[in-house]
Amino acid sequence: MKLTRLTALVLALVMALSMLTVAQSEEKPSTWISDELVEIRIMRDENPSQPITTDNIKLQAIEELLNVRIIVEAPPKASYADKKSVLIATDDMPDIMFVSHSDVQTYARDGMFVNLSEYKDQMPNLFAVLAANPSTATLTIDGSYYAAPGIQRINPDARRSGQLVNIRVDLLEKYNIPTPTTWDELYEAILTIQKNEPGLVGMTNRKGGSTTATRKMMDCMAYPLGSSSSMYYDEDLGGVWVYGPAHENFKAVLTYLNKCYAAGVLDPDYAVMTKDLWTEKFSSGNAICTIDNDGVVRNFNVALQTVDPNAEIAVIPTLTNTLGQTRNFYADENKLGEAWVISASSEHIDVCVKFLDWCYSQQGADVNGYGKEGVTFDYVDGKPVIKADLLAQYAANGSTASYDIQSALGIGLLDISPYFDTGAQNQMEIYMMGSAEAIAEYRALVASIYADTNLRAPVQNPPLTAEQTERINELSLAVENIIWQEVDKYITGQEPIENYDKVIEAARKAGAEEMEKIYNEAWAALLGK
Amino acid sequence: MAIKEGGVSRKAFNIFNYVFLFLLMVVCLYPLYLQFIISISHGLEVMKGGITLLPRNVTLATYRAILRGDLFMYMKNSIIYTVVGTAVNLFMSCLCAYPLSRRTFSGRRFFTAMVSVTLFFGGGMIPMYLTVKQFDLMDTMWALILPGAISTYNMIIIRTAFQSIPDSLVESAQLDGATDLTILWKIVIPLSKATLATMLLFYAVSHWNSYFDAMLYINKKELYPLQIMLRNMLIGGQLAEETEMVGSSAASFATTDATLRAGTIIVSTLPILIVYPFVQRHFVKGVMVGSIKG
Repeated sequence: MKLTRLTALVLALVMALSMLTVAQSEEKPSTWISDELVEIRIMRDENPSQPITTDNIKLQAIEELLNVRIIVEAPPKASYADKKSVLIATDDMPDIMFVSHSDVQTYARDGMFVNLSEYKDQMPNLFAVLAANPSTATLTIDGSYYAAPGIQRINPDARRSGQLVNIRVDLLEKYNIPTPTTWDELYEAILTIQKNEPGLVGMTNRKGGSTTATRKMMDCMAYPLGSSSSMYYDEDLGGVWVYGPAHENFKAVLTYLNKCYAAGVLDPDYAVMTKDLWTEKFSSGNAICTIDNDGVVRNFNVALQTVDPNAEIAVIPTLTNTLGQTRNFYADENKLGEAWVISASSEHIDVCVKFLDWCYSQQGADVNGYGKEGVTFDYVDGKPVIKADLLAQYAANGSTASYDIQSALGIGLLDISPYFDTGAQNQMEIYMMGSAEAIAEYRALVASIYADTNLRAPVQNPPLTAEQTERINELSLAVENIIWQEVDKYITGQEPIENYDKVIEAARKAGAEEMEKIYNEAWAALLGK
Repeated sequence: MAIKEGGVSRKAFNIFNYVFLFLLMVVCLYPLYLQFIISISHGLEVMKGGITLLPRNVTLATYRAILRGDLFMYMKNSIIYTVVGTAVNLFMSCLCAYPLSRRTFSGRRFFTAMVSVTLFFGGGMIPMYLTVKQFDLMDTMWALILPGAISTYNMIIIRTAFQSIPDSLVESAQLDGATDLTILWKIVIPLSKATLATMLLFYAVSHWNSYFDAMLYINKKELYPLQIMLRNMLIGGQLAEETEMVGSSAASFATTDATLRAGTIIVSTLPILIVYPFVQRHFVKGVMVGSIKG
């Protein structure tokens, strides 16, 4: 067939246009951080509540967006410390590793981790988030950031929690007791309830993760009662760092707890409590009050209400202590104790730097918190919202639903999410509440905790030099040995409270005073910057 | 135990014996039974506590939740490591024990002494890790099998059992033209079955229970043994004390951490419980054979 000139011209044009289109489609997407597909190994611990999946939709989304394939290694939380130590000791770290801030303090100076401050110009997102969270300045080592900390991007459904005073409000109502506003009123309220309902445990607690039950109780109660169980920043003492148990104010804590113990208001088993026993006491309606994580305690209502439909355990506003202070901390919304480091021996430092920075971008937080746009979430009024069919699918899993959905999608705080957003978990929880009334009640409760102005932001420890860190480790061991073998004696009344002065003196001599000096100097150095 | 007629004191002793052993049995079995009844009770009832003898509000929700997870993948891995590992252990231990048991083997004392040194001194965790890495065994099942292919203690017990076989038997086989391998395979091993069955149990239980090597040398979840997951559930759960979920309804508490823990313990204990009775009868005999002669 003979082609006319015109036909040939049209065909040539069509061919040229189609080639142009192909060329355009082959142009790399603007979001890519590497021209070639790069594999980077990232390791973090696996929380048993949320198994980490190594082939999920989030990882696919990251590969498409960044041209980076993430190889996830997730040793179990129970063995993570050992694994981490071996990898650091053998210099066989993955490209990016999840460590604790104390690891950063220990190893950064040895050159194990990349100094992120040297890459500041390549990490605009990370450094913008750090600047927006001034308390992260406490994480620097000799003025530099060696790790990207866990920072929360607050979403509209986020809840604030803390070691708050939780009490059976139905029993207060039943015996016409006004909501306590002071710790002494709380004592009287529990005593009144116990007189009417003998056999109920007054104030109880649980064993901590890796600490004793007494220590955990002190971690929760010492600050609101006027002191602290360890080194802390006390605004009421004029803004100084104080080693709580070696300070005069700690006697106020012990005096109050001793009064409770003597009257039977404090659980006689407080020193040997476990998490399971604590759960049992509240779920079966046998306990009145606990100072602990309000989110965990609120769950007891479900079991409690099968025993008594009117029963309810709820948070009350911050109480005034015997020193006249009305104070408590809310739990830090960030995870500054958690750190993401890049191995100095990584072959892909540049890609890791870009990837870590991307995690702190809005897109990074959306992907790490909600998965893949259009597949697992959509934007509603500009905010990411998990698709309803996914929520319905995982709701069937019951009490593990919020962790199951995050596990399957590879998202959330317990996965690879340095700049984390708890939105998916919050949306799952709210979805499972069902009725509008329950959701409204929940939102009111969350709002009341945000509204409690006596709940203060926790203050992070100041950054210490290598010598200071070593000295603090040395001293704290000696001081803690003195303190924690004595505390129970004063709570149970085996020793009169006056004798605690001797413990304070011994602890200060053993190093508490020097520890305070080191912290205050480090704090002054930080503020001076 | 045969009860002879007559003798009040003997009867009293037997009654005491049966009662005591029955109580001992209860003490041993009750923890397992408790985990079982917790695993089939409703989570809310477990939260309230007080489950001691019978399950309450029976549900299989826990087992349904366990089946949704990767438990069977981990269990399959554990079974592979146990079967292959134990086979390698027995094979290598016999190969090492046989020459050391023969008096005709020159240098026997020297090699026995060298092997015995490892009972008291080890290379340590870091050198072992580097060795495994240099042999390219990381993330393979061989990392869990080859470094511990021979347990010196078990090998010495096998050697002692092999030594109890008379030299004359070995010599007569040699006169008939049998090679060392034939003698080992056709005479020595068949005569040491009881000891080998015991060693099989020792090795198998050790493989089934081990988690530390897997934690060090395995990074891929699909290669993890069951014990890694179990340990994480039991210990990691305590470490992660602040994980919680709020605002759930009563129905959603059919399974809780406690019921899942109990169910996992039951499912993971089953294989060893099933195998144990078949090997147990060799157990005492095998240890005695290996220990009193030497």
